[in-house]
This record gives sequence, C-alpha cells and structure tokens, in this order.
Amino acid sequence: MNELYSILVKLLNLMPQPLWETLYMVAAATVFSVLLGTPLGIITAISEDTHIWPHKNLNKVLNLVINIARSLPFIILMIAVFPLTKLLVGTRIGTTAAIVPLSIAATPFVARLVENSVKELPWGIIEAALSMGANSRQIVFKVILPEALPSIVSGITLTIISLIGYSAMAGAIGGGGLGDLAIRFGYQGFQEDVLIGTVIVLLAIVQLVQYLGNKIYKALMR
Amino acid sequence: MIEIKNLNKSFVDKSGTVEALRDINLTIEKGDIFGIIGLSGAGKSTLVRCINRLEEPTSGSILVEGQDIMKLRDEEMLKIRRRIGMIFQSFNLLSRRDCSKNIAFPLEIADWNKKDIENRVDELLELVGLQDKKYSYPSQLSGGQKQRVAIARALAAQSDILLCDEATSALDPSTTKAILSLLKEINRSLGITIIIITHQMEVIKEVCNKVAVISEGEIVEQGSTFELFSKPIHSVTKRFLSDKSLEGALDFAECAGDTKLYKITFLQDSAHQPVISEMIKTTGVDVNIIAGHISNVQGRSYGNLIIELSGEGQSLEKALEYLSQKKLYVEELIGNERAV
Repeated sequence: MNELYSILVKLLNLMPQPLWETLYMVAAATVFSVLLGTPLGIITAISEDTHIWPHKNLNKVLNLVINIARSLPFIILMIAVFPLTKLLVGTRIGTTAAIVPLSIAATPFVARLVENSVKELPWGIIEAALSMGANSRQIVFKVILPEALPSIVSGITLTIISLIGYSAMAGAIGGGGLGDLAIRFGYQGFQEDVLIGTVIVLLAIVQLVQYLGNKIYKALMR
Repeated sequence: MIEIKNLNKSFVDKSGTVEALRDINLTIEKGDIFGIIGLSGAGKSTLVRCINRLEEPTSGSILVEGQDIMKLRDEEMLKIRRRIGMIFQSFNLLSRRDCSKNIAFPLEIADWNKKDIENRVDELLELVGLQDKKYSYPSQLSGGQKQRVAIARALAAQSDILLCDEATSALDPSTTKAILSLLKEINRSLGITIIIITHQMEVIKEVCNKVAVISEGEIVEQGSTFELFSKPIHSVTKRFLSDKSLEGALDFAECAGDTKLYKITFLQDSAHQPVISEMIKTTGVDVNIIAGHISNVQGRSYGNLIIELSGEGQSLEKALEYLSQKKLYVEELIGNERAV
C-alpha cells in the first residue's frame, strides 16, 4: 500500500509538465494541420476530372506532394524541416519547435482524409446544387463542407490520435512530452512504474479524444 | 417554350466513342407536361441533363424561350439554371439542413434577402402541403415528403420549367399518384412547363399531355399521349404499352389456315357504333373475338379488340376495307410482332 502511494506521488510530481507539453504540441499541430489540410483536401477532391472544378495538372501536383509528404518517416521529416523550423520559431529544438514538423506531418494526412470525405458525398446533392445555378464557391461552402463535416470530424479525431503517437518522437529533439518521459525515466532509467503510468495516461487521453470525437460526430449527423 | 434541334451527345471512353444521343429534335410548348419514356440506358437522363447543361451536348442547339443556351457563357448559364428547376429519383436533399433551409438553398444562391427568403419558404411549404414539417430534417421524412420538399426547392427561385428525372421511381404507387397530382396542380395553377423522364408508362398516362419515346439515343416516336397510347407505331412503344391480359389471349389464339389475327383500335366516337356486327352482316366474314378492353387516358377513352377473321373468297378483304372506311385502326398481328 505504501509502495503504491509513493509511486503515485512520484508520478504526480513527474507528470504535469510532460502532460502539458504533449497537449500543447498536439493541440497546436491539430489546429495548423486542419487549417492547412482541409482546403488542400477539398481542392484535391474538386480538381479531379469529373468533379466541379476540373484542373488536371493541379490535381496531379497536389496528389504528388501529399504522397511524398506522407511517405516520409516522421523522424526523418523532423530533421529535414529543421531550417524551416528555425525560420518560423527561431529555434530548432524544444516543444514549440516540435509543432512545426508535427503540423507538416499531419497536414497531408488531414488532406487525404478530407479528400475522401468529400469524394464519399453522394454526387446527387452536388448535381442538385449545380442544377440550381450554384457556382463552385457556393457548392464548396454551402454543400460540400457542411455535408462532409461529420466525416471530417471523424478524420480530425483520427488525426489527433495519430499526433499523440507522433508527439512521442518529438522528445528526440527536446520537444518533451509524455513520450519523452516514458523513454527517459521508464526505458533508459529502468523505472517501470513511470513507463506503465505514462502508458495509462496516454491510453486515457486517446480514449477521451475518441469518445468526444464520436459524440460530436453523432451530434452532427442528421 | 423549349426547342431542341439536332442534338447529339457522345462520350469517349476506353472502348471508344459511345453515342448517347443522336439527332434529337423536340419541341416543348409552354405549359406542357412532356413525358420522355425509355428503358434504362436509352439516354433519357442524358437528354434531360442537356436541357440545363449539366451534360454538355456535343452538337446541336437548345432554345429556351428563343435563347440558344448553348451559346451562353458560364455565368449566364448559372442564371438560366435558376429558372429551370430539377428533381431527382433520390431526392438529393441536403441532410444537414431542415426543410425550410433546404427550400431556402436556391434563394441563398440567388442572393435573396433574409426576409424575402422566409416569406417565399412559407409560401412553398404551403404549396406542397408541408407546413408542419418546416423544421424537420430529411431523415425524418418519408419518400413522398422528401420529394415534396425537393419540388418546393426546385420551384423556389421562381422557376418556370421543372425537369423531373425519374422523380417517382423510388416511390410506392399511392405516393407516386400523390406526387403526380401535385405536379399536375403546379402545372395548372402556376403554368409551369414540366418535363418528365420515366420508364413507367403509368406516369405518362397519368399526367403527360405529350410524350416522346427514346430508344438507344434516338427519339423513335412522339406525339400526344392519347395518340401514342391508342395508336402506337414503333415496336419499343408497343412494348411499353403491352398489356399482360391481352398477351395471354394471344398465346391462346391459334391461327390456322386462312384465319388471320387482327388488332382493331376504336377511338372515342367509333366505340359507340356496332361496327363488328355490321361488318359481319355486310361482308359475311367469320369473326372470333379473342380479347378486348377499353382504356382511359386523361379522360379520353379508346378500345382495343383482338379478333380472328376468316372467310370465303373476297370477304376478308372486304371486311378490312369496311373497317378502314369506318376509320378504325387495324393492324395484323403476325409471329413475333404479336406485342399488343
């Protein structure tokens, strides 16, 4: 009993700072990747040959860029974007600096998910809007975005959970966070209690995110 | 008025060029309820989408109130589309907007102000009889109610033409009737020209005053609905009209020797005269009545009679001559063409 108590006290002392770092990195990267990835995904979907804004070459370029970005392992991407990170944040290491590679890694992911959400919409509703004389901009903002929103929310939930996983690697460039805690204390320091405690906290975060994501999805579905 | 002249549409795919529409010529007068009937794949959906250029025709012209819409620039085309409403088999309502917001959609597109939109939406909900469903979402409505919302939406921006693409195909028979009578009502009270695409002959029979039959991308027959129902000429039309009860009778009939099988069509006036009786008396021909029925198309009736004729010498020819003098439409049914 006493032993369990002392473990809890240790974890409560260790946890708050890395927990905050993880939440901060994931939240910021989610916001940036959604802001960048959503328009990218929509443009990729509607620029297809058979869609409302056919632009064959643009579509090809976007697909290529998304595929390249998605095929890079995160750990390599993180190092590859150092110059950009330095330019944007002023430093290459630290929690804030880690937001840059995290956002860059998640943006193409969001773009693909959004693209799929858009493509899954029944063509009939877009055709109906066209038959009423809607232009491309009106169709995007009044039909595609609202109708695809529940599916996009599911995608964002998935993105947040993936980002929690990626953020663990940010520890490698001094990003801190729960992953860093687990590696330094748990793995390298042979403190299994810290390792297990971190895993439990991460599990709880993932569960909570998924639960909230499902709630919002259901509320949006009609 | 809508005039379609020499319209062609071809698609290019891997297997080559597919000619979806070939030399289509149609004139649809203001206030018509014009039916276009065809089997699936006949090109009817492509044809109706050419009218608002959701499909780009390959060649030909489409005149709406004298204006060739093929020559319009994109922005002008968007404006014309607002005057041409369209409804679909799958309703295509926006799932995340309630009824009032769905109906408001084309008005938002056309930049109406909020107050006008509100008034217009209420007006339309009343027109389609859904005042109590104003704040219901599509998922809470039945198929018939969804199509009513779709009709209201299609007419919202003061459309004067309504295109119906298999609008009743997903509905049960009684709901179909109710939607058709709503369309008729709209046509009568608002003078809206309606073009109906369907594969259901009952739909044409119920509401259309004119009809065109399309098969393999070509119009094979067109005319007033009564004319087409009473005297179908093309085999595709006959197949659409084929009456199961008469078909059974045909299997029963056996034409041996000099006996020949005929289908006689009586139009309104001749239906009241004892034509057959008189034919027998004057020509001495033998008549065996196989089957007969009387149909009603929009208040006008016509009858079909299937008879076997046989007789000595010239009596058969005389009988046929007699029937044609009476201005009856007589058709010999032979072998495979025994569709009635």
